[in-house]
Amino acid sequence: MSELRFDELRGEQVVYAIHRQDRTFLPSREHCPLDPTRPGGPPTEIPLPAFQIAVFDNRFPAFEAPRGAAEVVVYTDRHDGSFATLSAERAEALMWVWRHRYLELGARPDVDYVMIFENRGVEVGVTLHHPHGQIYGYPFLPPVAERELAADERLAGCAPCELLRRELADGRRVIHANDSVVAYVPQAGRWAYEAQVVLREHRASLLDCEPLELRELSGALQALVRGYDALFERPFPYVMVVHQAPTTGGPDPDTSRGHLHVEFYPPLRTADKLKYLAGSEQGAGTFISDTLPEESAAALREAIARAA
Amino acid sequence: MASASGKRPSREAPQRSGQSSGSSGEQRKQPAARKPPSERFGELLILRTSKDDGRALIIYSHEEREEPEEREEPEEREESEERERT
Repeated sequence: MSELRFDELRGEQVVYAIHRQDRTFLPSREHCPLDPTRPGGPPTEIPLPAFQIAVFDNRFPAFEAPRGAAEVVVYTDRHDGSFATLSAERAEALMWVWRHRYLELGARPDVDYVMIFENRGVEVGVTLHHPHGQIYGYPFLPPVAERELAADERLAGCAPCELLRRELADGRRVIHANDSVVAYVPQAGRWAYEAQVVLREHRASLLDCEPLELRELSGALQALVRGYDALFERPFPYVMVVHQAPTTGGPDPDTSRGHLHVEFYPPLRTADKLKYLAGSEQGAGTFISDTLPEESAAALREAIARAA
Repeated sequence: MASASGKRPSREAPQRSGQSSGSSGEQRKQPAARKPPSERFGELLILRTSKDDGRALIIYSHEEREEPEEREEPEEREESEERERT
Protein backbone atom coordinates (compact mmCIF):
# COMPACT_ATOMS: atom_id res chain seq x y z
CA MET A 1 0.00 0.00 0.00
CA SER A 2 1.35 3.41 -0.94
CA GLU A 3 1.84 6.15 1.61
CA LEU A 4 0.84 9.77 1.06
CA ARG A 5 2.81 12.56 2.64
CA PHE A 6 2.01 16.22 2.29
CA ASP A 7 4.86 18.57 1.41
CA GLU A 8 3.92 21.68 3.33
CA LEU A 9 6.52 23.84 1.61
CA ARG A 10 5.24 23.10 -1.89
CA GLY A 11 1.67 22.48 -0.81
CA GLU A 12 1.37 19.16 -2.60
CA GLN A 13 1.08 15.44 -2.00
CA VAL A 14 3.97 13.03 -2.55
CA VAL A 15 3.20 9.33 -3.08
CA TYR A 16 5.56 6.70 -1.73
CA ALA A 17 5.03 3.43 -3.59
CA ILE A 18 8.18 1.60 -2.64
CA HIS A 19 6.94 -1.75 -3.95
CA ARG A 20 7.20 -0.30 -7.46
CA GLN A 21 10.98 -0.44 -7.15
CA ASP A 22 10.75 -4.12 -8.12
CA ARG A 23 8.42 -3.73 -11.10
CA THR A 24 9.14 -5.47 -14.39
CA PHE A 25 11.78 -3.51 -16.28
CA LEU A 26 12.26 -3.85 -20.04
CA PRO A 27 11.79 -7.62 -20.25
CA SER A 28 12.85 -9.54 -23.35
CA ARG A 29 10.30 -9.78 -26.11
CA GLU A 30 9.65 -13.43 -25.20
CA HIS A 31 8.70 -12.47 -21.64
CA CYS A 32 6.46 -9.49 -22.29
CA PRO A 33 3.76 -9.58 -19.57
CA LEU A 34 1.30 -7.75 -21.82
CA ASP A 35 1.33 -10.34 -24.59
CA PRO A 36 -1.51 -12.88 -24.68
CA THR A 37 -0.83 -16.22 -23.01
CA ARG A 38 -0.14 -18.55 -25.90
CA PRO A 39 -0.44 -22.34 -25.67
CA GLY A 40 2.84 -23.69 -24.38
CA GLY A 41 4.16 -20.21 -23.71
CA PRO A 42 4.86 -18.47 -20.43
CA PRO A 43 1.85 -17.11 -18.53
CA THR A 44 1.32 -13.39 -18.92
CA GLU A 45 -0.98 -10.80 -17.35
CA ILE A 46 -3.70 -11.78 -19.83
CA PRO A 47 -4.56 -15.51 -19.58
CA LEU A 48 -6.08 -15.67 -23.05
CA PRO A 49 -4.60 -16.65 -26.41
CA ALA A 50 -5.99 -13.52 -28.07
CA PHE A 51 -7.80 -10.31 -27.13
CA GLN A 52 -8.60 -6.86 -28.43
CA ILE A 53 -8.28 -4.47 -25.48
CA ALA A 54 -7.55 -5.59 -21.92
CA VAL A 55 -7.68 -3.63 -18.67
CA PHE A 56 -6.38 -4.96 -15.38
CA ASP A 57 -5.29 -3.78 -11.97
CA ASN A 58 -1.63 -2.81 -12.00
CA ARG A 59 0.52 -5.42 -10.29
CA PHE A 60 2.68 -2.61 -8.92
CA PRO A 61 0.10 0.05 -8.15
CA ALA A 62 0.83 3.61 -7.15
CA PHE A 63 -2.75 3.68 -5.82
CA GLU A 64 -5.13 0.91 -4.85
CA ALA A 65 -8.47 0.54 -3.10
CA PRO A 66 -9.56 1.87 -0.69
CA ARG A 67 -7.36 4.83 -1.60
CA GLY A 68 -7.48 5.12 -5.35
CA ALA A 69 -6.78 2.88 -8.31
CA ALA A 70 -4.09 2.04 -10.84
CA GLU A 71 -4.97 0.17 -14.01
CA VAL A 72 -3.14 -0.93 -17.13
CA VAL A 73 -4.84 -0.62 -20.53
CA VAL A 74 -3.40 -2.90 -23.21
CA TYR A 75 -4.33 -1.59 -26.67
CA THR A 76 -3.76 -4.78 -28.65
CA ASP A 77 -2.48 -8.33 -28.31
CA ARG A 78 0.22 -7.56 -30.86
CA HIS A 79 3.54 -6.84 -29.22
CA ASP A 80 4.84 -4.47 -31.87
CA GLY A 81 3.47 -1.16 -32.98
CA SER A 82 2.08 1.78 -31.06
CA PHE A 83 -1.03 3.87 -30.62
CA ALA A 84 -0.17 5.40 -33.99
CA THR A 85 -0.26 2.07 -35.79
CA LEU A 86 -3.57 0.80 -34.39
CA SER A 87 -6.42 0.54 -36.86
CA ALA A 88 -8.86 3.45 -36.80
CA GLU A 89 -11.51 1.11 -35.38
CA ARG A 90 -9.27 -0.04 -32.53
CA ALA A 91 -8.32 3.52 -31.67
CA GLU A 92 -11.99 4.49 -31.62
CA ALA A 93 -12.78 1.50 -29.41
CA LEU A 94 -10.08 2.70 -27.05
CA MET A 95 -11.99 5.97 -26.61
CA TRP A 96 -14.99 3.91 -25.45
CA VAL A 97 -12.79 1.95 -23.07
CA TRP A 98 -11.43 5.19 -21.62
CA ARG A 99 -15.00 6.43 -21.23
CA HIS A 100 -16.04 3.27 -19.45
CA ARG A 101 -13.08 3.39 -17.08
CA TYR A 102 -13.74 7.08 -16.32
CA LEU A 103 -17.35 6.19 -15.54
CA GLU A 104 -16.53 3.28 -13.25
CA LEU A 105 -13.50 4.69 -11.46
CA GLY A 106 -15.03 8.16 -11.18
CA ALA A 107 -18.06 6.72 -9.40
CA ARG A 108 -15.89 5.28 -6.64
CA PRO A 109 -15.90 7.27 -3.39
CA ASP A 110 -12.12 6.91 -3.05
CA VAL A 111 -11.34 8.37 -6.48
CA ASP A 112 -11.36 12.14 -6.83
CA TYR A 113 -9.60 12.39 -10.17
CA VAL A 114 -9.30 9.91 -13.04
CA MET A 115 -6.19 10.37 -15.14
CA ILE A 116 -5.79 8.33 -18.31
CA PHE A 117 -2.30 8.49 -19.74
CA GLU A 118 0.37 6.87 -21.84
CA ASN A 119 4.11 7.02 -21.47
CA ARG A 120 5.78 6.23 -24.76
CA GLY A 121 9.49 5.57 -25.14
CA VAL A 122 12.36 4.81 -22.82
CA GLU A 123 13.07 8.54 -22.78
CA VAL A 124 10.04 9.04 -20.55
CA GLY A 125 10.61 5.96 -18.45
CA VAL A 126 8.69 3.26 -20.27
CA THR A 127 9.41 -0.17 -18.82
CA LEU A 128 7.31 -2.24 -21.26
CA HIS A 129 7.29 -1.68 -25.03
CA HIS A 130 3.98 -3.44 -25.73
CA PRO A 131 1.41 -0.77 -26.78
CA HIS A 132 -0.40 0.21 -23.61
CA GLY A 133 -1.46 3.05 -21.38
CA GLN A 134 -2.39 3.46 -17.76
CA ILE A 135 -5.08 4.95 -15.57
CA TYR A 136 -4.60 6.41 -12.13
CA GLY A 137 -7.54 7.07 -9.87
CA TYR A 138 -6.20 9.68 -7.47
CA PRO A 139 -7.68 9.76 -3.97
CA PHE A 140 -7.17 13.54 -4.01
CA LEU A 141 -7.29 16.34 -6.56
CA PRO A 142 -3.75 16.63 -7.99
CA PRO A 143 -2.08 20.02 -8.51
CA VAL A 144 -2.47 20.25 -12.30
CA ALA A 145 -6.20 19.63 -12.05
CA GLU A 146 -6.39 22.25 -9.31
CA ARG A 147 -4.57 24.76 -11.51
CA GLU A 148 -6.95 24.10 -14.38
CA LEU A 149 -9.88 24.90 -12.11
CA ALA A 150 -8.05 28.03 -10.97
CA ALA A 151 -7.65 29.01 -14.64
CA ASP A 152 -11.42 28.78 -15.01
CA GLU A 153 -11.75 31.24 -12.14
CA ARG A 154 -9.10 33.55 -13.58
CA LEU A 155 -10.73 33.61 -17.03
CA ALA A 156 -14.24 33.78 -15.57
CA GLY A 157 -15.41 30.73 -17.48
CA CYS A 158 -14.13 27.55 -19.04
CA ALA A 159 -10.41 28.17 -19.66
CA PRO A 160 -9.97 25.54 -22.41
CA CYS A 161 -13.00 26.98 -24.24
CA GLU A 162 -11.47 30.46 -24.10
CA LEU A 163 -7.97 29.28 -25.04
CA LEU A 164 -9.35 27.31 -27.98
CA ARG A 165 -11.17 30.43 -29.16
CA ARG A 166 -7.91 32.37 -29.01
CA GLU A 167 -5.95 29.69 -30.84
CA LEU A 168 -8.53 29.49 -33.63
CA ALA A 169 -8.56 33.28 -33.95
CA ASP A 170 -4.77 33.39 -34.18
CA GLY A 171 -4.38 30.25 -36.26
CA ARG A 172 -0.58 30.11 -36.32
CA ARG A 173 -0.29 27.26 -33.85
CA VAL A 174 -3.17 25.08 -35.08
CA ILE A 175 -1.74 21.84 -36.44
CA HIS A 176 -4.79 19.69 -37.15
CA ALA A 177 -8.56 20.03 -37.03
CA ASN A 178 -11.76 18.19 -37.85
CA ASP A 179 -15.43 18.93 -37.15
CA SER A 180 -15.18 17.93 -33.48
CA VAL A 181 -11.59 18.48 -32.41
CA VAL A 182 -8.74 20.97 -32.82
CA ALA A 183 -5.06 20.25 -32.15
CA TYR A 184 -2.57 23.01 -31.52
CA VAL A 185 0.76 23.81 -29.96
CA PRO A 186 -0.27 25.96 -26.99
CA GLN A 187 0.72 29.60 -27.00
CA ALA A 188 2.78 29.06 -23.85
CA GLY A 189 3.76 25.44 -24.40
CA ARG A 190 6.63 24.33 -22.19
CA TRP A 191 7.95 21.42 -24.27
CA ALA A 192 9.29 22.06 -27.77
CA TYR A 193 6.59 19.98 -29.46
CA GLU A 194 3.91 20.11 -26.80
CA ALA A 195 0.41 19.79 -28.21
CA GLN A 196 -3.15 19.88 -26.99
CA VAL A 197 -6.11 18.17 -28.64
CA VAL A 198 -9.30 19.93 -27.56
CA LEU A 199 -12.99 19.24 -28.13
CA ARG A 200 -14.61 22.15 -29.96
CA GLU A 201 -17.75 21.90 -27.84
CA HIS A 202 -17.63 22.15 -24.08
CA ARG A 203 -17.43 18.55 -22.91
CA ALA A 204 -16.47 18.02 -19.30
CA SER A 205 -15.49 14.44 -19.90
CA LEU A 206 -15.65 11.56 -22.33
CA LEU A 207 -19.08 10.77 -20.88
CA ASP A 208 -20.46 13.91 -22.46
CA CYS A 209 -19.20 13.17 -25.96
CA GLU A 210 -21.32 12.08 -28.88
CA PRO A 211 -20.13 8.92 -30.65
CA LEU A 212 -18.96 10.99 -33.62
CA GLU A 213 -16.87 13.14 -31.31
CA LEU A 214 -15.17 10.06 -29.89
CA ARG A 215 -14.42 8.88 -33.40
CA GLU A 216 -12.99 12.24 -34.41
CA LEU A 217 -11.02 12.52 -31.19
CA SER A 218 -9.34 9.19 -31.88
CA GLY A 219 -8.69 10.27 -35.46
CA ALA A 220 -7.05 13.50 -34.34
CA LEU A 221 -4.94 11.74 -31.72
CA GLN A 222 -3.69 9.25 -34.29
CA ALA A 223 -2.99 12.00 -36.81
CA LEU A 224 -0.90 13.80 -34.22
CA VAL A 225 1.14 10.81 -33.07
CA ARG A 226 1.76 9.74 -36.66
CA GLY A 227 2.94 13.28 -37.32
CA TYR A 228 5.21 13.05 -34.30
CA ASP A 229 6.78 9.87 -35.70
CA ALA A 230 7.20 11.56 -39.08
CA LEU A 231 8.73 14.73 -37.61
CA PHE A 232 12.20 13.31 -37.06
CA GLU A 233 11.55 10.00 -38.83
CA ARG A 234 11.93 8.06 -35.61
CA PRO A 235 9.61 6.74 -32.89
CA PHE A 236 8.71 9.90 -31.02
CA PRO A 237 8.62 9.66 -27.23
CA TYR A 238 5.84 11.44 -25.39
CA VAL A 239 3.66 11.52 -22.34
CA MET A 240 -0.01 11.70 -23.32
CA VAL A 241 -2.54 12.71 -20.65
CA VAL A 242 -6.32 12.93 -20.91
CA HIS A 243 -7.63 15.86 -18.87
CA GLN A 244 -11.25 15.63 -17.71
CA ALA A 245 -13.52 16.93 -14.99
CA PRO A 246 -12.60 15.90 -11.44
CA THR A 247 -14.79 13.22 -9.94
CA THR A 248 -14.62 14.60 -6.44
CA GLY A 249 -17.76 13.82 -4.51
CA GLY A 250 -19.96 16.33 -2.76
CA PRO A 251 -23.56 17.34 -2.40
CA ASP A 252 -23.61 18.99 -5.81
CA PRO A 253 -20.82 17.82 -8.10
CA ASP A 254 -20.27 20.50 -10.72
CA THR A 255 -19.56 18.60 -13.90
CA SER A 256 -19.18 21.82 -15.87
CA ARG A 257 -15.80 22.22 -14.18
CA GLY A 258 -13.32 20.78 -16.62
CA HIS A 259 -13.06 20.49 -20.37
CA LEU A 260 -11.99 17.26 -22.03
CA HIS A 261 -8.68 17.66 -23.78
CA VAL A 262 -5.58 15.59 -24.33
CA GLU A 263 -2.13 17.01 -23.67
CA PHE A 264 1.15 15.70 -25.08
CA TYR A 265 4.48 16.39 -23.40
CA PRO A 266 7.27 15.18 -25.71
CA PRO A 267 10.79 15.42 -24.25
CA LEU A 268 12.64 15.79 -27.59
CA ARG A 269 13.71 19.29 -28.61
CA THR A 270 15.58 18.04 -31.69
CA ALA A 271 15.87 14.64 -33.35
CA ASP A 272 18.53 13.57 -30.86
CA LYS A 273 18.42 16.03 -27.98
CA LEU A 274 16.23 15.81 -24.90
CA LYS A 275 14.84 18.64 -22.85
CA TYR A 276 15.85 18.07 -19.23
CA LEU A 277 14.11 19.47 -16.22
CA ALA A 278 17.02 21.26 -14.59
CA GLY A 279 17.64 24.22 -12.30
CA SER A 280 14.95 26.65 -13.37
CA GLU A 281 12.32 24.02 -14.07
CA GLN A 282 12.84 22.14 -10.81
CA GLY A 283 14.01 24.88 -8.50
CA ALA A 284 11.78 27.71 -9.66
CA GLY A 285 9.02 25.86 -11.48
CA THR A 286 9.71 27.98 -14.57
CA PHE A 287 10.27 26.31 -17.92
CA ILE A 288 12.88 27.75 -20.25
CA SER A 289 12.29 26.67 -23.84
CA ASP A 290 14.69 26.71 -26.78
CA THR A 291 11.94 26.84 -29.40
CA LEU A 292 8.99 29.03 -30.28
CA PRO A 293 5.56 27.38 -30.38
CA GLU A 294 4.80 29.00 -33.74
CA GLU A 295 7.86 27.41 -35.34
CA SER A 296 7.18 24.03 -33.73
CA ALA A 297 3.60 24.20 -34.98
CA ALA A 298 4.73 24.83 -38.57
CA ALA A 299 7.03 21.81 -38.43
CA LEU A 300 4.35 19.63 -36.86
CA ARG A 301 1.72 20.70 -39.38
CA GLU A 302 4.01 19.66 -42.19
CA ALA A 303 4.85 16.36 -40.48
CA ILE A 304 1.18 15.54 -39.88
CA ALA A 305 0.39 16.24 -43.52
CA ARG A 306 3.32 14.07 -44.61
CA ALA A 307 2.18 11.18 -42.39
CA ALA A 308 -1.47 11.32 -43.49
CA MET B 1 -27.93 14.81 -8.52
CA ALA B 2 -25.48 13.15 -6.19
CA SER B 3 -25.52 9.50 -5.28
CA ALA B 4 -25.68 8.29 -1.70
CA SER B 5 -21.90 8.23 -1.59
CA GLY B 6 -21.76 11.81 -2.70
CA LYS B 7 -20.44 10.74 -6.06
CA ARG B 8 -21.82 11.62 -9.41
CA PRO B 9 -24.48 9.11 -10.52
CA SER B 10 -23.70 6.81 -13.40
CA ARG B 11 -25.01 8.49 -16.51
CA GLU B 12 -24.38 5.49 -18.68
CA ALA B 13 -24.52 2.31 -16.69
CA PRO B 14 -23.13 -0.78 -18.42
CA GLN B 15 -25.86 -3.02 -19.79
CA ARG B 16 -26.06 -6.60 -18.72
CA SER B 17 -26.34 -9.23 -21.38
CA GLY B 18 -29.75 -9.26 -22.97
CA GLN B 19 -30.63 -5.72 -21.95
CA SER B 20 -30.82 -2.74 -24.21
CA SER B 21 -29.95 0.78 -23.21
CA GLY B 22 -32.33 2.68 -25.37
CA SER B 23 -29.59 4.53 -27.19
CA SER B 24 -28.25 3.70 -30.60
CA GLY B 25 -25.32 1.35 -30.70
CA GLU B 26 -26.21 -0.25 -27.40
CA GLN B 27 -29.33 -2.14 -28.41
CA ARG B 28 -27.95 -5.35 -29.81
CA LYS B 29 -29.22 -8.18 -27.64
CA GLN B 30 -26.95 -10.91 -26.43
CA PRO B 31 -28.12 -14.48 -26.17
CA ALA B 32 -29.82 -14.91 -22.81
CA ALA B 33 -28.20 -17.33 -20.36
CA ARG B 34 -24.86 -17.37 -22.18
CA LYS B 35 -21.94 -17.66 -19.78
CA PRO B 36 -19.79 -16.02 -18.68
CA PRO B 37 -22.04 -12.95 -18.42
CA SER B 38 -21.11 -10.06 -20.61
CA GLU B 39 -22.09 -6.42 -20.65
CA ARG B 40 -22.45 -3.91 -23.41
CA PHE B 41 -21.20 -0.37 -23.19
CA GLY B 42 -21.71 1.70 -26.29
CA GLU B 43 -19.94 -0.16 -29.04
CA LEU B 44 -18.09 -2.47 -26.68
CA LEU B 45 -18.70 -5.95 -25.40
CA ILE B 46 -17.30 -6.29 -21.89
CA LEU B 47 -16.21 -9.48 -20.21
CA ARG B 48 -15.23 -9.25 -16.55
CA THR B 49 -12.99 -11.80 -14.96
CA SER B 50 -10.17 -11.90 -12.47
CA LYS B 51 -6.63 -13.14 -12.37
CA ASP B 52 -5.29 -15.92 -10.17
CA ASP B 53 -4.13 -13.40 -7.58
CA GLY B 54 -7.55 -11.76 -7.45
CA ARG B 55 -6.79 -8.68 -9.48
CA ALA B 56 -9.58 -7.58 -11.81
CA LEU B 57 -9.24 -8.21 -15.54
CA ILE B 58 -11.65 -6.76 -18.07
CA ILE B 59 -11.62 -7.76 -21.72
CA TYR B 60 -13.18 -5.30 -24.18
CA SER B 61 -14.20 -6.41 -27.65
CA HIS B 62 -15.39 -4.33 -30.54
CA GLU B 63 -16.57 -5.40 -33.94
CA GLU B 64 -13.94 -4.17 -36.29
CA ARG B 65 -14.02 -3.81 -40.03
CA GLU B 66 -11.71 -6.08 -41.94
CA GLU B 67 -8.55 -4.13 -42.52
CA PRO B 68 -4.95 -4.54 -41.40
CA GLU B 69 -4.69 -3.69 -37.74
CA GLU B 70 -1.29 -2.16 -38.02
CA ARG B 71 0.27 0.13 -40.58
CA GLU B 72 3.27 -1.77 -41.81
CA GLU B 73 5.81 0.95 -42.46
CA PRO B 74 5.86 2.65 -39.05
CA GLU B 75 5.84 -0.68 -37.29
CA GLU B 76 8.80 -1.98 -39.22
CA ARG B 77 10.64 1.27 -38.77
CA GLU B 78 10.01 1.33 -35.04
CA GLU B 79 11.01 -2.27 -34.62
CA SER B 80 14.32 -1.79 -36.37
CA GLU B 81 15.09 1.36 -34.44
CA GLU B 82 14.22 -0.26 -31.14
CA ARG B 83 16.74 -2.96 -31.96
CA GLU B 84 19.34 -0.34 -32.71
CA ARG B 85 18.74 1.42 -29.43
CA THR B 86 18.90 -1.71 -27.33
